[in-house]
Amino acid sequence: MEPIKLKTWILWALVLFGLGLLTDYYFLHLLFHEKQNALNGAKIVSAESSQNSSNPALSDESFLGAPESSESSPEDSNKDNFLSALQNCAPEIAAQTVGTPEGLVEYLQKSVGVKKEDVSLENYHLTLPNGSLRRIHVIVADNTNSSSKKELRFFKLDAEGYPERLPLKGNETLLSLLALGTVTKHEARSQFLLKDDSSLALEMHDQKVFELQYNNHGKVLSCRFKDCLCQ
Amino acid sequence: MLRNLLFSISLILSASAQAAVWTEVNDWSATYENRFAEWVRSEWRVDFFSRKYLPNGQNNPYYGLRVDCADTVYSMRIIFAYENRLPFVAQDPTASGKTISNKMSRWDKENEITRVRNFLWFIYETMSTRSLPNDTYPIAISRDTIRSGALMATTKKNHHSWTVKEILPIGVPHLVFNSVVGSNSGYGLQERQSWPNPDWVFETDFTPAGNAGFRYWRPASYINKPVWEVPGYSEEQYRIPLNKWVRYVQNRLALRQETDNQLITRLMKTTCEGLTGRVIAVNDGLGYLKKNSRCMDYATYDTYSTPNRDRRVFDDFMSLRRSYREILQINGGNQLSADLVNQLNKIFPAIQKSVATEAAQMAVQGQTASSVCVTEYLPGQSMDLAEFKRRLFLGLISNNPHDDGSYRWGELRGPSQRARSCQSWDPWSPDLNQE
Repeated sequence: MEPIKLKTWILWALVLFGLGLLTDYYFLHLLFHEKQNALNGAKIVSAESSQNSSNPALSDESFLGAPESSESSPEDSNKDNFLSALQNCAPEIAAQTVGTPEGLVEYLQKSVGVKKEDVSLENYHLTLPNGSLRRIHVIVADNTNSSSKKELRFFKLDAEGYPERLPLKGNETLLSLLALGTVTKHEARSQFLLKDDSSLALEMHDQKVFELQYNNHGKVLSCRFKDCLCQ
Repeated sequence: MLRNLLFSISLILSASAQAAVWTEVNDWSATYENRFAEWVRSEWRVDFFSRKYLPNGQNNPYYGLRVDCADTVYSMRIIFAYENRLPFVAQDPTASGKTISNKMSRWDKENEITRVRNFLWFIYETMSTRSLPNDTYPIAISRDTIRSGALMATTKKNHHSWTVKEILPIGVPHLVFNSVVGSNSGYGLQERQSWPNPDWVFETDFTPAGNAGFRYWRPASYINKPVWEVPGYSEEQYRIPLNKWVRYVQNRLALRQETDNQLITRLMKTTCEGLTGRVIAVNDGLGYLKKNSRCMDYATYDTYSTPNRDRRVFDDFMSLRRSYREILQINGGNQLSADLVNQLNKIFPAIQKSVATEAAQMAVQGQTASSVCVTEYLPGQSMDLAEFKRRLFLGLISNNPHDDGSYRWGELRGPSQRARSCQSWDPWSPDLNQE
């Protein structure tokens, strides 16, 4: 038997590589695309809804092919210097046995008191009865002279998990959009002016503190979960 | 056979490469940031989206894109990234922890420039001034950090932003920007070589959490990270007393001092642009009013009313007045040309008195040799900057789009009959108690 020539090795390597690419193209670009289009379409397949909603592939967080996600979770950061940073930035509050960011927020709201609260941004992650995903993005409107008018933006997700804005008729409200499905996640950014003229910028995810900046009359406590900094 | 196989594979690879909006082959580095700054300084012009042809005669691929203020800011970064095959990564504002980038393949059946234009439109309808803090960070005050390609943003209350085209040698920013009204009326951008009023920029929240002031683009690896962890993050801007903010920052950024004549001429030019720009905005409203006599709904009213515009012109007049007063206190105005002094005295006839007293005492200003910025505000009717200032400071200028031209321009004191009978929103009137 003749030894296999280098040219033949290269040929087979290229054939296998090409087959790999074709497989990838078929599954990720064609098949997956069609599946997502069906899910994001208007057609509602109610019979499948309960099964789909429990399918992890449809969850916003574990979306196959979704854009890179780098949202940190409390477990990602082992750093917990909340108490020492709070001690540096607001020793009078640290003395009140406030042990967590949620405890700090509660203390500031209830004991110091809120002079003014302003919600600047909210995201609602929705799962519709057919299992498809939507997001409601509520922001202070740019296209207005008003300083407080809110704008509702409504998105479906494309095959890659990127938001794709859906047109609204103009008579929708936050409540009417929320009624379309089940809220799986809620993100909210707020600013509080407190009664002692200190201020708090807060980002909550599902009622838990994600990030805060507490400006205690010039000393700023900044935390992502319990990873904090006092400046 | 081998040749055919290679051809087939190259076809598959090219199809795969087309999936992204553009394929990045470079990475952001200090060198590319410097090139970005140079590109913004030389190429980022008010006609960037409105000129049909480039100087080399080719079609302008970005012609006809309508942008508001935040769109303008994002466009600056995205277009440079595209033209230099660099990545563009931003936080997905609809979901914490997710990103949006040039890698998305939504338009992979289109040609490259169509994909880029679609990506820009996608950004315009997804991003806003509220998403800018996710993608940028506050910077220290120096010419190394506050430079071409940076941006300036206001607090949430005033939801506005500007791109920094250049920091002039005198330490003043040359800003390129747009507004919603601007985006409705054409493809051109706007510019100013002067400071926005810091009271307006930082209104209601002069802290890092307000996200206002000068900012720069986050490296991609710091998207979705706490802003205080971004290298170069600085809270310096928020530690300067607000009433000294402009003077302090300008001194830190200046390579040379501006002469008194240059300062006054520059501020007068900015104020004049406020008057001439208002003519276009008011005419848009009057055009609508001519065709529609019924009361406007909120959205229409909001489009054609001008409270924010009028406040910015008022702020520019106040900035000019403060500068003139300071010059008089320092050297009695002996460095100013006689012509400029005459022009200033026409606009501010009682400069040593309070703003309110001057407004109350100011006589009607006809057009003379000392008039500056004479502008035809309605067909056959014109006024100079001094008369506009008189009407504006007396509260005669109406920002209510239900008023006709004579009320909008303060020939008559409003509100008109129609304005009284229709609902109005977000009124503004000048605050004469400041100095």
